[in-house]
Amino acid sequence: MSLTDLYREIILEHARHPHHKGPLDGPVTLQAGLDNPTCGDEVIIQVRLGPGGIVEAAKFDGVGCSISMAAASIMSEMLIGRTVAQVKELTDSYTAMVSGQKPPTDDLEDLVAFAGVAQFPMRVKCAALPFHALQKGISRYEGGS
Amino acid sequence: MDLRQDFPLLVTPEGKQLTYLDSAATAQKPELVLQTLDHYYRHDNANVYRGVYSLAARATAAFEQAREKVASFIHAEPDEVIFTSGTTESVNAVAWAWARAELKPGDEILTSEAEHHSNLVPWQEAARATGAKLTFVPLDEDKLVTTEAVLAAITPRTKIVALAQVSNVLGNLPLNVAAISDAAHRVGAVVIVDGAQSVPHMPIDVHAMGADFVAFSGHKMMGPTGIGVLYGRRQMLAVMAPFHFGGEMISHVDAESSTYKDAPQKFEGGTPPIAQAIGLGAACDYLERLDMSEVMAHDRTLGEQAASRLRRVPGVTVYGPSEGRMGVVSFNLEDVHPHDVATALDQQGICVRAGHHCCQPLMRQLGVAATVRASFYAYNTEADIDKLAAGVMSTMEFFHHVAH
Repeated sequence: MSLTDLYREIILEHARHPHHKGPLDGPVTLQAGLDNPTCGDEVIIQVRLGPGGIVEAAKFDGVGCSISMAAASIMSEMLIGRTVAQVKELTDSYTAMVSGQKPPTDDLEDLVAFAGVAQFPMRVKCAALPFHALQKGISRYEGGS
Repeated sequence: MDLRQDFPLLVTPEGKQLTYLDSAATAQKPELVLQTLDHYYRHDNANVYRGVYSLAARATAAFEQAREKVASFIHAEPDEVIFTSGTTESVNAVAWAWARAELKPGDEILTSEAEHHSNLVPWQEAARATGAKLTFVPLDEDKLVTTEAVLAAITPRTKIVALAQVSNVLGNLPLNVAAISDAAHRVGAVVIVDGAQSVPHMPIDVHAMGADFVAFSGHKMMGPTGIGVLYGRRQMLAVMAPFHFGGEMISHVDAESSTYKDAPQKFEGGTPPIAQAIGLGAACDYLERLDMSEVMAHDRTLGEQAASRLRRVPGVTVYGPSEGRMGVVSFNLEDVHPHDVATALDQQGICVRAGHHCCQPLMRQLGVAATVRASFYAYNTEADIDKLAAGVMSTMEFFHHVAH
């Protein structure tokens, strides 16, 4: 177990130069914010669904460690083009991987970089934070529609 | 001094590799405390006060002896020492039992935005319940509470002054509590000192300090968890109502009403944390053997050295006083989140804390979401500072090199 197991290059790149960061322009279909009171990390996820319930745009904003910010960046990128059902599957595979319950699966693509988080139990929450915000947004959206 | 061999955790094969810099959160325990706990459970364990048999008498004697040791450690009388579960319960006891009875709308509770949540939130609730108002000591440019600022902030409406003697984030040199108590008493206010970060690290004479209440935790001074102390001036404890009701604290119970014992028993309803109190007594013995003046000088030296070493690392911001500090150093690395720093240091066997340190208002004052904090105690050495400084430099290199 070494630092590079956790901080893969792609994670550090996204942390330093996040993609899809900032407010989502135009209509927002679902959104949610979540914070981690133990460390003060905060993340907000905004998603717009297009025709056929496919994610057309996704953005995040917030402050946090490189793990939570990189996870939000890569997640936002990967949501685009997926249906809500596919987003939920992705979320399940990812949270199972970072918490060490399941090995990485192919559908996780770049998110596989977070596999090392499972060896750092104190950082699982950081890695899961944006996905937990996303789950919150989805369940609100589904509950309200 | 090199005391590592007195601390079993620090001499295990794993512990030998550890640079433990989180004593402001909880201290490691010396052999003496562990042996005392073990001995109590193996030889003296019984419930206190009520038993007639000699085992119970031994347990009671050991428990009351622990109270005497703690009293002597802070230069109080034994009946001024109330055992609680920790600083948080001690502060809450005053906020519930004293403040709610005494405060009226318009009264002021003077505290600061640099307080630990445990010395802020109980006062927010007491203010809400009574209509009293919270007022805040203005912080200086380093975001420190200074004695001068406290003295200037006391008004005729001030009824409670609630402040930490030493900040758990900034590690300021101790406030002059005697001066603050004088000024507070002149306007009829009472003073409660959050001593969580001061009592473990300096000689304490509560009578000389003149404070009405002093709250502190056992586990931060090498004692067990689950035990803390509320020191209360005898006159205050005489008028303060009990805050826990039940067994042990009563004098006479009828079906409809009861009378209570005198302090400290009236504040210790239920079976007290007997072993923990006895363990805390042993921690006081250990610390007194080291000499608290020596402990303070040692911790100060390490805190000041660590701050100046870290300040020399490019990209590191150190918070707190520019000169003179206790053994607490909060800092940040440019463009690296404190959690990432803490994980990177952990990989090098260095235990530091990262986060808001239960001081969210202070974090906002500092303009940061969180900091890294290294804190020192008697078992730390200059070698620990060398490791910390090297660890911080390699962490900086790792995050800045890989990411650019």
